[in-house]
Amino acid sequence: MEKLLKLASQAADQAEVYYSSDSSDGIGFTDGKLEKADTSLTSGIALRVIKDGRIGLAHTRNLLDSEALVKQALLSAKEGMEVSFQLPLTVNPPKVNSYNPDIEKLSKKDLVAEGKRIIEYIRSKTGAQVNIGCGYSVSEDGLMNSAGTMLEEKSSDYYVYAMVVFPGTGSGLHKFRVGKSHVELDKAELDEMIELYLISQNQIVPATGKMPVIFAESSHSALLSRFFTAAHPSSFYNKVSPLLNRIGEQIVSPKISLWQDPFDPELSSQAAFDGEGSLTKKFHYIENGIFKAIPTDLNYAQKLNLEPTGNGFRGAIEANPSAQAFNICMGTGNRSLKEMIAGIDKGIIVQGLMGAHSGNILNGEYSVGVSSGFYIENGVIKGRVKDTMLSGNAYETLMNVAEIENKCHNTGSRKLPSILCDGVSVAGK
Amino acid sequence: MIDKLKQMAGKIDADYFDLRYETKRVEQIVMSKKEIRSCGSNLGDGYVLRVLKNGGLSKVSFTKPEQADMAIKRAIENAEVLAANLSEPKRPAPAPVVKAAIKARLVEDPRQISLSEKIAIVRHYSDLLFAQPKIANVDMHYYDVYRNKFFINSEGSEINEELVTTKLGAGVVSQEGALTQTVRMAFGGSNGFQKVRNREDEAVARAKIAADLLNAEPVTAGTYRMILNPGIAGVFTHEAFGHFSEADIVRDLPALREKMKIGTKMGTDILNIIDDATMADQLGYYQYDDEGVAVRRVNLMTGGVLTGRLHDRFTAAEMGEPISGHAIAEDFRYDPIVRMGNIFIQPGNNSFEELLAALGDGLYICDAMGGQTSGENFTFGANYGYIVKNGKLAGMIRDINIVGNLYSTLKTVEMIGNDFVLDEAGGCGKGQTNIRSCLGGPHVLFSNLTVGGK
Repeated sequence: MEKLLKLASQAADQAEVYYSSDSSDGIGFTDGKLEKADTSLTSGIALRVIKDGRIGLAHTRNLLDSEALVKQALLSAKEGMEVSFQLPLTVNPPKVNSYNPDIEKLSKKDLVAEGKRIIEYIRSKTGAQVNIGCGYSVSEDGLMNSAGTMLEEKSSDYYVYAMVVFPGTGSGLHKFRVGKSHVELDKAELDEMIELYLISQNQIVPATGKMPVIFAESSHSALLSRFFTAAHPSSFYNKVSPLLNRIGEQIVSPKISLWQDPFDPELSSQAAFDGEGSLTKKFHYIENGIFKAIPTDLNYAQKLNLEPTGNGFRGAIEANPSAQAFNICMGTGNRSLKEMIAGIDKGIIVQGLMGAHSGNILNGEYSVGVSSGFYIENGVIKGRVKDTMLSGNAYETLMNVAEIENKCHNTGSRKLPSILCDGVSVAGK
Repeated sequence: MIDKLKQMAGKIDADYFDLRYETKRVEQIVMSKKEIRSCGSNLGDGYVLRVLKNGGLSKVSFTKPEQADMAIKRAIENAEVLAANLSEPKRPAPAPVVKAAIKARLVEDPRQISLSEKIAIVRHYSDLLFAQPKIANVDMHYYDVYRNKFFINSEGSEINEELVTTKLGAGVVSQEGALTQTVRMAFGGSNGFQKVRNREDEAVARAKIAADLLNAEPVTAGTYRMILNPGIAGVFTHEAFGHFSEADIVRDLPALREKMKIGTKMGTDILNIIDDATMADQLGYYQYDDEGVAVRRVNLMTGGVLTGRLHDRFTAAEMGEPISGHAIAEDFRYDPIVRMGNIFIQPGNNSFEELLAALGDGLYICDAMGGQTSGENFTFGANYGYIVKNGKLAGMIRDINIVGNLYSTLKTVEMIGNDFVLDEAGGCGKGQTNIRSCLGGPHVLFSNLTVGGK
């Protein structure tokens, strides 16, 4: 690695080597049957060089020839993007507890036993089809650059999810937990899911019209993904974002606050530095409805004249670092979910959506099918909705927030409460 | 390489194994607002081992040849854990032993074209699109992917197949005040670089649609008689029906096994649906799947009756149905899963004008913007459309999302066009991305579909 960096630094103006290796094991139960027990042992190296103001990337799975990799990166830089940022010198980043050695003691047999425990518990209360996924991984990432940065991080991850499938569909209800080593899906969480499942046998097509809708944590994607697409620095740089020049303005209800916390130990992506060696930060995207900030990487921070926020992550060895919001938290309100439901005359609570990635996302528009949702009448859940769509504009919907739940649900990468929005367009019968 | 794989596998103590090795070279150019955001070429490689022991089938992927012994050990351990907890042992359906070496059939080989020429072409389309009225941004993405795949199994099959995929895609954004509209464009295929050349007229037409959408009316939610154009009819076929023809999905959803029984009448008499990856020169072309099985044309639906299913060797054995050669892995990181190759509704007898006349009043919906299924329910977005009055296109509409139920929708196919267009975009994301997933078909008239909207 040092040799590669040295070679690249000699041939280019700036250079950076990122490497990772990962071992992961997982099992899967489908319809209560153990179907999968897989292992993945992967590693890779990515090299970025900056020469004559242009950046290039090369990567490989097996480093057989350092010189060839440097050549490839230089070729990519020859026609590459123009950049004028400096790779950072980062020393002594804050410690995060991203690794728990207990993970090494886990085996496939433990995962199978955990899966069986959950299946038996759910089966004892319902006749539902149950799918389980469970796994652990250990990864080591490192980054060094020509400015003198040398960072390494070892992390462990454990996940478990349980899903009960609505009969005749692929959708259903699920619970998900992550940790740095074994964590349990406890009975209280499973009971929440089971209670809803039992009501789901009754199917209702609601009448078309505007009504209050509770977006549970698993259905925020329809709204938040639109905000984060518009808040992406490339949308700002390309001047196509509806949020352009609106930092400091109210864009959603004052009840909404949204921030990222790289150091929250309950979330899966704790990180003190990003995929470019910049220090990560805790900061607000939205505070009391006011648009505060966008995530940046080195490139866009420099081009937009902003400070790097340490959000330059790589989705994979093959990918360029790109600004990605992570470890997202939303501020809570003061009503329990039960109280929120009890206050609804006629409305819907939505757990899962279909087609959240389609439509004019940049403008904030959404038009999504409800794959998992329940109809509420006179404060009581009456049954599962079918053939139902929600549509609107995410900013308008989030402007009409009536209530926010008094606790957050951890989805692994996000901690979100349920939110109740008034006047959402529902298309049913 | 085949010999290296055979040496690596040595004497694996298992009932069946297969071992794949693949190199994948990707050359790509990302351009946004006339600026190159990244470009260059990169090579990745890796191994996937599958081991069947006592009925347990496990997969281990690994990067380095020196990890082979560890991978074999882990695969056997995993298979034993599976075997100890099985309700039904897995077995592969019989398949011919194949020894084959297949080169990609290319008209113009993208590997022979310099990066700077590719950049010039991307820039050319970008400039052309920007020169059109009201275009505020153009995101261009070009790639060519060269996969050189090697496969051996314990039965003696030894296969080397090359796949070369070329694609030039664009997101064209028009803007007026705070309103923006996006239209997608994709040129490409499996038979060479010529697919992305000389498509200027189509590019300009896409830009015009983006500009026109600024003045289109948001569609009114409701249920309509509708003609879907080949682009979105193909997505319907793929999303709503095609995924249910994938045996692994049917296997994993017990409630579907009854509903998707071969011989079940599901659609109207005129409806024939086919998956044919063997059709020359289309995006989804291949000869052998990632279990070494020759792919064949499958008549999935004939006269509205379910007549076939897409399989890997294990689902075929489990369901007692013939193998079809549809076990596909994204690349060297993944084990194969059941995938469509090239799915479409077979063209019928009626011209588009006849379809419009038969529609009378309704909607004409064009080109997909993403789609998703959840069990028998589907949702997909459409790029644009038109209100049809008395058989004639009236105003343009936008913000269209179609929602429905597979079973009821197949029974509303009223008339099928005699035209046929296959999509060039690819990109099915069923856990893994399949950039060669091809779909298409003719214009299709449905008597009853629901759109969401305001």
